[in-house]
Amino acid sequence: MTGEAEGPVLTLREPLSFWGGLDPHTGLIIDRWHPDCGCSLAGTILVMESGRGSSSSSTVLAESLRLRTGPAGIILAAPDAILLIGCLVAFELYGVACPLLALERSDWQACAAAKTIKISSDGQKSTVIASI
Amino acid sequence: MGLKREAIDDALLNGEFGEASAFAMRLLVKFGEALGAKRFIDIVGAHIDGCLYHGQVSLDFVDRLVALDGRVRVPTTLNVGSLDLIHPELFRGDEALRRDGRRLMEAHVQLGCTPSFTCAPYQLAKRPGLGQHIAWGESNAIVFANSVLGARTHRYGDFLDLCAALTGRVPEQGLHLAENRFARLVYEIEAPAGLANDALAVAIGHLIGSKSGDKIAAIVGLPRDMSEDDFKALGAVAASSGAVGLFHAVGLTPEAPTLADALLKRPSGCQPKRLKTPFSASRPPLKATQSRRSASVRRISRSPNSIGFLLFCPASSQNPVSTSTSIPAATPIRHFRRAATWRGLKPPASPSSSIPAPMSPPSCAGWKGSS
Repeated sequence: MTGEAEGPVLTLREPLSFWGGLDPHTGLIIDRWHPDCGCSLAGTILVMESGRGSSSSSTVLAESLRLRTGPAGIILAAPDAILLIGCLVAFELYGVACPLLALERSDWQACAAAKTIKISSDGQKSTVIASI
Repeated sequence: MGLKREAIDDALLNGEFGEASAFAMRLLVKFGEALGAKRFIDIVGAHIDGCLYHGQVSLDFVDRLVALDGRVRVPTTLNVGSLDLIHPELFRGDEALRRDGRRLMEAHVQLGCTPSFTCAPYQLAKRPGLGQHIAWGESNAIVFANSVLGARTHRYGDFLDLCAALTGRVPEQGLHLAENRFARLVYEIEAPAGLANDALAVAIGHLIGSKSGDKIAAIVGLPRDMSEDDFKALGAVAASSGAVGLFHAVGLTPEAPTLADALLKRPSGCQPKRLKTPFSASRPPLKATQSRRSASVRRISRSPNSIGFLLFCPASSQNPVSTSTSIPAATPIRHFRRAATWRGLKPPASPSSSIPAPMSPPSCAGWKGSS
């Protein structure tokens, strides 16, 4: 996916299941058992260790991107097919680009500690600039 | 290297099977490239999780496929919808949700899906068998198909499962590949006497899900009379507390007759972690004191087969898993036990053998695909 994304970093302390965990109308985490319940994903670069839970998370992510309440980009430490397809569909149907990257552990940790992140991608190669 | 396409893949992309299949194939190609797949493979069936209404995007996606005269190319079942179509009068929600939820369910049927509307497709008459490739959505069904049936599906999300159904193809990656199905973690269970299997299954499922993420676990020491319903509960809890798509119950599930089989295709240099689980129905969880932990670690590390044993102690964790792992025997979780007896695949009693026979591969008649 080509494009750029930039935003403040939101590092989640635990993986979030978007289905049941995110209200796509507000962009807020609504899973009351999640340690970051109440945080807003809107416009953030979401740094999360891995995907979690329901395979319906694809739709909830795509719906939040349609409503412009979703994250600007997502950085994981392991590839996640469910979140990836949510991003692909939002781009295909609405032209909303939410780049999703799976990084090596050390790079992911650097992102998790950053304040803002800028992601640029030309479809082949992605560049991540993390500001501490 | 890149993602190699066969003639059928190019035909799908070029619209020879219709524009809906071409649209689906474009998404599959992007998906496969992003995940580093090398080629596409056939699937024998699909299960679609996208018929539950989550918002306008659900309808926008399927309506586009219906408008393009889409038709599934393999036998395809449907997960739950937003509405009970048999008793629509019982719906008490918003009118727009009722209308759109119903429309979404009907649109999937228009695409040729079987209106099964169940999140337990593995309990339908026809189900995939050992080694067969499928594309399933619904996290509890995915983990059951992979673990208990030995079929091969990646963790497909909404949209992608339908793309696979419309093309009969998926990129070969993830849990479709044999080398990605070995265990990276080994849980040794000390199942206490008196704890019902269904309660144990829920506790183990929560432990595995919350401690393993998406890593594959081999579980040693589960009771030999674990039923399909117990595995259903174990997998469902593991999939919802983590991202578990496959587990191996050593001696019970088809790809793990022995622990060695569960670890067989492990690349050299990759050692599994061992997590010992001191479950107990009668004794309190271990205290996380240094002395007791040290003693336990010493005791375990004397094992001749020790490969960097780790001691998992629920009481030392901040995670609420500790409350799940000490479910008292007096309060077993009963709601997972169904009235119907789905216990046909319980391993045969073989008291003379130290390793029970694995579950026999279920029948796969009818899952040959349509192409």
